[in-house]
Amino acid sequence: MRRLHFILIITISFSLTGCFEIIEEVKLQADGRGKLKYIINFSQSSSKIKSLLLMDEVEGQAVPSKEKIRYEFQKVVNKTKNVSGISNVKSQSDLDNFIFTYQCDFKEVENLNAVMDSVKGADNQDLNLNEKYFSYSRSNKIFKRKGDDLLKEQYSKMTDGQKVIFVGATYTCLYRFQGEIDSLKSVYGKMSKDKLTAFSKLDVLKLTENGQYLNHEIKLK
Amino acid sequence: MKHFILSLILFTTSNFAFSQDLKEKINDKASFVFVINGAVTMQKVSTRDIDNSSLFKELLDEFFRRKVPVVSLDGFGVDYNQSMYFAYENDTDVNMSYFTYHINDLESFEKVVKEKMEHNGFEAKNGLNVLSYDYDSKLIWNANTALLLIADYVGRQYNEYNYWYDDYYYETTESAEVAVDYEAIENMTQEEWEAYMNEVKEKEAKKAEEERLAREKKEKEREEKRAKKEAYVNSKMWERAATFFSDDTKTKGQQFKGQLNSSADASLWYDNHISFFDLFWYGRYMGYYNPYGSLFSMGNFFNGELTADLYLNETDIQVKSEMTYHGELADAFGKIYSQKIDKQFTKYLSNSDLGFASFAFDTEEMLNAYPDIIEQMMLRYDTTMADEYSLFADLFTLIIDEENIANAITGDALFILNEVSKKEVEYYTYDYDENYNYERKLKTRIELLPDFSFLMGSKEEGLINKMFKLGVKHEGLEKVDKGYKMIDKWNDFPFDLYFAYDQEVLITTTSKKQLAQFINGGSGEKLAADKSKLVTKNSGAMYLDVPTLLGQILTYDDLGRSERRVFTAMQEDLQSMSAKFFNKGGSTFIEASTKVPSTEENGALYLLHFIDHMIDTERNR
Repeated sequence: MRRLHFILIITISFSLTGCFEIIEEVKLQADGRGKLKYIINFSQSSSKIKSLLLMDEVEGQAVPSKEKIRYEFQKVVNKTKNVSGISNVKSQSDLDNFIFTYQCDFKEVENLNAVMDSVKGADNQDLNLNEKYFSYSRSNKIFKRKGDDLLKEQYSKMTDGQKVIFVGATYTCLYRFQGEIDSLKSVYGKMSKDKLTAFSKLDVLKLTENGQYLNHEIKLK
Repeated sequence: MKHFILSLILFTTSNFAFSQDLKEKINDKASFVFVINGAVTMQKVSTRDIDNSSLFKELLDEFFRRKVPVVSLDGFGVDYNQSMYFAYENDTDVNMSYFTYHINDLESFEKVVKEKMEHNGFEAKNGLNVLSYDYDSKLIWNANTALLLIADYVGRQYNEYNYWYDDYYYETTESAEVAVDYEAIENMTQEEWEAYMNEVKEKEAKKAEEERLAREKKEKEREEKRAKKEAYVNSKMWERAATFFSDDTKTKGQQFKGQLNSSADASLWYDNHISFFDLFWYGRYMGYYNPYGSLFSMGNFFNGELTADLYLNETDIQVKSEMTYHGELADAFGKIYSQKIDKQFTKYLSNSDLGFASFAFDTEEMLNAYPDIIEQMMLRYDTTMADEYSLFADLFTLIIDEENIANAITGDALFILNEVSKKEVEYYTYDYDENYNYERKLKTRIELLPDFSFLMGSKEEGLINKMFKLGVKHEGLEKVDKGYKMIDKWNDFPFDLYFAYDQEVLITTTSKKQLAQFINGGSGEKLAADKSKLVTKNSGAMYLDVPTLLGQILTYDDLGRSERRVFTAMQEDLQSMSAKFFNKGGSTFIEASTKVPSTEENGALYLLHFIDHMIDTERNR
């Protein structure tokens, strides 16, 4: 029956598979200040999203309206405005192409931990909000990005039909510095030609297996 | 001689008792009965066919996991050559659903059920063997019959949650909010502040204790109710089992009297006092049916008794169903479905279309009948509101201009799935240079999108043209050829939309090519006689060319490996499907069929082989 169930899922979810990309970009200045930018781009799946928006419910989940999507995104953005050390918060939701952009300035890269926590905690108060995602040691000149297993946990609770949406999705990390990178520790990380940027592009499905694939340890010269 | 006659009588009676049709055991409170006529199906598919099938192995694996006590269908001890029934019976406080079948090998049967259910309670009582899975589900059997009985308590007396608002949702542990005078707090001395805080804490602790005690009291009450409910349900189940395993139902003339077709492979009977569609409302109203919420539901028209039979024939698989209506609905339907679709609609169909669905009804007759139908339906639930329903019926008749509406919507409609084709769609993505600076780029990709059309009869040319004109004025529509296109800014659909009005037909289509073709006289080809007959001779029809549809999907390069494998296997096996519905003698008939490939002996083996093919496809991935 498991096999028949799988076939049923394949047939039903044929219309649900799609691609999306997430770009996480951190620009870090020598004094520790910097900018964070997130781009969540569903443009490749826009025709499928438009089809889904015509429905009331998919896989037992209510389908939100465009207005509701805009409102929920803005709610999360507004939460980050109250985070200490964060300023100049800007956001844009392009609901014709389904591209969402978020950016802010930070005083210390650690301020971003609170930004991430406030986003994660937006709908789930039970999450561990003390986890550190970003850190920078000015004395050692080491920047760290640490992944967590939030996606893995959520993925394990999803139905097969819901899991299909991650097929083809990518997560890109961009960490830019004013000085050159001395060394880079990351499973999928690459260094730019000018050695000022660390880059990695991961399949989101990989992150559903292990959030630590996001880990980066970058030592600057 | 005496011995011979006695033996003969004993043999005949025991054989009769053994092969007694279990239908007689179902009582007249049943609202749903489904039968699998094993004697019919087992002539087409042998136990060996089933034993060797992947489906059987998959089911064994799923049901028994690692510990499989049988390797063949016969090992279950069930008599597959006799009819098996599933029934649902309504009662005032406990509804019963059950599955019943004959046993032909008691030893094998008990070996299987006890092996699987070794941890559940077994008892022998009143000559019956019982395995209790839970307080509300039991497997009960004697030497030749098994009954899987499931009870559902629907009464109020022992319901732990009498009303939907009397539940945990409103039992929080949060303290009650205390009105706070912020100005007074700001002016407090340290001592005053500490005393104030102690007072607040005491109040909160007292409140929390009161809530805890109230919660415990309520939980205790619930536990008592739960225990009483379980005892009551248990006694009711024993009562039903005792009746079932006796001849009481038959001798008292209380047996189920609905029609089930014994020559079909499977047959279903359903008494639909509420409409089919309204069943979906159950969940939304927390288990309480709300007939008022669905006052305007089209489902109200489908109020009657339904029978549906499945035939796994040599050349095709057929489902034939008949709906006989309650009350005066039969007359109303005779009038509503008196008209057939305007024959000119067939000119819009092409033999290469992937599928279509047509529908024809007399709008004026439907609107005339609607208030009476609603009134009759509502009175089934609540006669105290008769005056209100009557007023609604009168107001409806007063407000609605049946003739004019029938002019605007003639009742003829045709949906066509023209094709599924690859189309270029634009999207944005980000390109990176050697230093990973990115730039947003507009690119194109190929997607598989359907082209479909919807055509609806309307004589209100003036009204429709005014709507088009208004659409253009407000920049929602733009003129293209002899029709209109919805402009992208207004279009939330993932496809283009074109409209036109031509020869009393309102055309909506996703394809500019189709729009031109429809306006220029239709597909221009002679529609195959069987398709033409399907559309014009029935009140409704449906056709789907499954192999071609799957073939078009398979041309999509970006199809995932799993999807490609499954769709290829389906394309190899599946045939075109068609269905029709029509009204005759006060009943509505719905018939659906699909052909059995010439390589298969009959529909039963075809279905079994198709499911096996799917399982094997997945197994070999």
